[in-house]
Amino acid sequence: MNKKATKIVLALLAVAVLALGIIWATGGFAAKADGHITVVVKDLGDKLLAEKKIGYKTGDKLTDLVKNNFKNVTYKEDQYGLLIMTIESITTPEDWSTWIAILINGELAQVGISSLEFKDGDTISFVNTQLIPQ
Amino acid sequence: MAALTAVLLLQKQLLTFLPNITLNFFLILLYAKVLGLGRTAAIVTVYLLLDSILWGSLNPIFTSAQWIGWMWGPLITCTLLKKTENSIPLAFSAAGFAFLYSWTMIVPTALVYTNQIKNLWAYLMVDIPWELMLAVSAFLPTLLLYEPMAKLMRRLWKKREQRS
Repeated sequence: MNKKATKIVLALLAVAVLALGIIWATGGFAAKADGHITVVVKDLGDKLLAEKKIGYKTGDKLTDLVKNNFKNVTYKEDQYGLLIMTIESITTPEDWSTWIAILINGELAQVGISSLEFKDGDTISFVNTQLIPQ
Repeated sequence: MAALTAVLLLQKQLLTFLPNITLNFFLILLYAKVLGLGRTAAIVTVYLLLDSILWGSLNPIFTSAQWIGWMWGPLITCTLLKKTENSIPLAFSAAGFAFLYSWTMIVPTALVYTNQIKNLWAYLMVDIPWELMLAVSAFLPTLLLYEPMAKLMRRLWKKREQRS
């Protein structure tokens, strides 16, 4: 295969991988079955601000469940999906010195709120967190 | 050099709506090839400071790690790849730089979020698709644009040097 043909084949493969990646990264998650989750909101120093057991139905999205069950919930669109910026009395400042970490069953979520997969019995925590721990 | 820094910064802002898609790796490789290591390091440093201020993410741990992450490209390009002008191996190298950047950023992430990341292995696994997207976004423009852009930039840079 000459150089031009090799470049075309490689470019097409790369475009396909990129397209799949964008679809994967921007796609959200909806519940696959009915169930209950516990949602916890904690301020700095692990101070409990709110805790609710929330029932959900197939197709429900976590963003809507949180927004409908807690006060002052706002999201911001980001390249990685939605970011939760405020919940109850917690607000992410402009300098991002604190941010709202999402934990699922005590472990830091690896994806944003719109893509976070949850199932019956999970505990999802929104924890106000210092960017650089003191 | 200020204009080249502005190009780097501007494309980053324009592409923020796409997840992990950036021309940074391609542009930094191109700059390193045409301008050399010293000038590219200066561009990367100014770019990184401006970008961090713009996004409110300027802090010693992350910004230092980002600088190291971005500098893998120019360092390898100006040493191991100094004589390579073929866009195919350069495109694979650019993809490699994207992985090196991502792996460099794992260090500060693990240090800062040490109390929340209980399973570092799971974090690394989840990060792979994002790393792959970053690598493809480095690979594709380098493959398609490196040769014509390098030719154009060398011509413009030569003209600029003749004038000064």
